[in-house]
Order: sequence, then structure tokens, then C-alpha cells
Amino acid sequence: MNDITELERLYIELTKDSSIGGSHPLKKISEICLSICLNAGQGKILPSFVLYTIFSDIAFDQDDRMVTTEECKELYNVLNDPIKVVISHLRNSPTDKILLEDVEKLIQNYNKLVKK
Amino acid sequence: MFFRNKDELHSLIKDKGLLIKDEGEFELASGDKSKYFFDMKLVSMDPEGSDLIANAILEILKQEDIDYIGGLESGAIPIASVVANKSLKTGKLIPAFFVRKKPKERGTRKSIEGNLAENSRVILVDDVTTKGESVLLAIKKVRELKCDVNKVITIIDRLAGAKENLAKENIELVALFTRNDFDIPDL
Repeated sequence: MNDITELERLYIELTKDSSIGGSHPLKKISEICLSICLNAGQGKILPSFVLYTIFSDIAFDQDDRMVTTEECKELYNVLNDPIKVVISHLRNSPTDKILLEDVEKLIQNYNKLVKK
Repeated sequence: MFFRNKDELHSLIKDKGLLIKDEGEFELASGDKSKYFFDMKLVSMDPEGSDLIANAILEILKQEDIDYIGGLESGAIPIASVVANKSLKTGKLIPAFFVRKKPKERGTRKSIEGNLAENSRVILVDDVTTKGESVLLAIKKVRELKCDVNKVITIIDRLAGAKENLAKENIELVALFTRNDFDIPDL
């Protein structure tokens, strides 16, 4: 199984309850994103790096503290759509303009949560 | 003395560390969801709690011939530290260490901080075990130093597979308490 297929599989598994949570599965997903970033072609570096940064940041934040499902559902509500779009770009190889717009949207949504 | 100590620790965990949600759930590190959560730092960093935990662990260690005690950051740090401190009065000094989840990216880039020598006999501690994934990471790092580790002591075992997962690595899990020792309602 290649890394992108594995990332898609793990992300579906992670979000099966419409929430984004659990530091161990999040860490695993971030490691796959890093592997894609290091091994895949140039067009995949930006989206995989941004995904790696966001997943590892959430994993680090949720580690070693009490986390409620409410906050994981909020993460899902704000991030799921832009994450899915960016993951799909790992396969689709969109134009640079589309890629940058969608990656920026993901980062903006994440920043909204972080600055809350 | 041991049982009185354990009873007191049980009461403290129940009063201070066990959180139960009537509405919503807790998200565990494993990704599982739960109606209850043991916030053991509230106990392991409590003056009385840390003393009770150390006494209970030192009682178990009487039967063990070990050189060091440690575990994965951050849950194991207050536990291993207080055991090391209290070992001073037992006549058998047990220095402590902790394993970083991720090595520091600058400086020494060490995964293990504190006192641990190669080829030593080690006992690992954890505050709460669910599937044992955190403590398995610590076991891997300690074994890379050719240390002998065959026992993990946890304050609470949530009975979600840690014992079985550790057994696959020839590690015995000793729990001071399991989730069944607490009145956790079926919510």
C-alpha cells in the first residue's frame, strides 16, 4: 500500500465518528504525511508538509491532557472539508494557484481554531 | 501498612483523579472515547498522592532487584522522581530517568534524560495504561540501551489491552488498581 492510500485510509478511520482526536492516531497520520513529503515528487511537498505540520501540532496539543469529544468535533467541523481537499490534491496535481488557495484555506481555518 | 496506604490512595484517586462525564465523552490518546477519565497528574503531583504512590511502588520493588526506575514523559516523571527520592530511606538507592516522546532537535538530541546506564535492570512506571502504546515506546528506547526490562508498574490499568500488548513483549504489567476497582457507572 502506498503512503497516499494509507493516509486516506487512516484519515477515514480517524474521522469515522465525525471528530478529530486521539494523539496516537494523529501522530501516525503525521508520520505518513512526513514520509510523503520526503519521498514524493515536488508537487506533493507543499500539501504534505502543511498536513504534517497541522496533524503533528494537534497530536502534540492533545497529548498528555484531558480532551473532550466536543473539542474534537469542533476540530472536525472546521478542518475536515479543507483537509479532504488538500489530501485529494496529493493525487490530483492541481494548478499551483488552486493548490495555494486550498492550502491557505486550511491554514486559515486552523489558525482560527488556534487563536480562539 | 501496605493495604492502608492503598486504601488511602484509592480514596484520593476517586475523589480527585477520576472524572466522569454525564454528557459528552472524553477522547483518549488511543483515539477511543470514554465516559470517564483518570487525570492522574492531579494525584501524582499532590503532596499526599505522590507519597502514597511512592510507598505503594516501593513495596512492590522490595521483591525486585533493579538499578533504575523511569518511564515516558510526562506521566511517569513525577512518579519515578518521588520513588527515587523515597528510595533514599530504604537503603537501596533507585535513581530515576524519563524517556522523551521525541528527542530534542537541538543540543544533545537525547531520548532519555536523567539517570540510566547501559545494560541495567530497569522497571518502568506509568500513570494510566489503556492499550500500552505510550509505555511500549519507552520500552523500545530503554531496550536500545541493552537494558533489561520485564515489568511495568502502572497506577491505573483501564483494562483495554495494555496487559496483553505488553505480554507480547515479555513484559508483565502490574497495576496498583484497575478500572474495576472504581465505581464507574454504566453511563
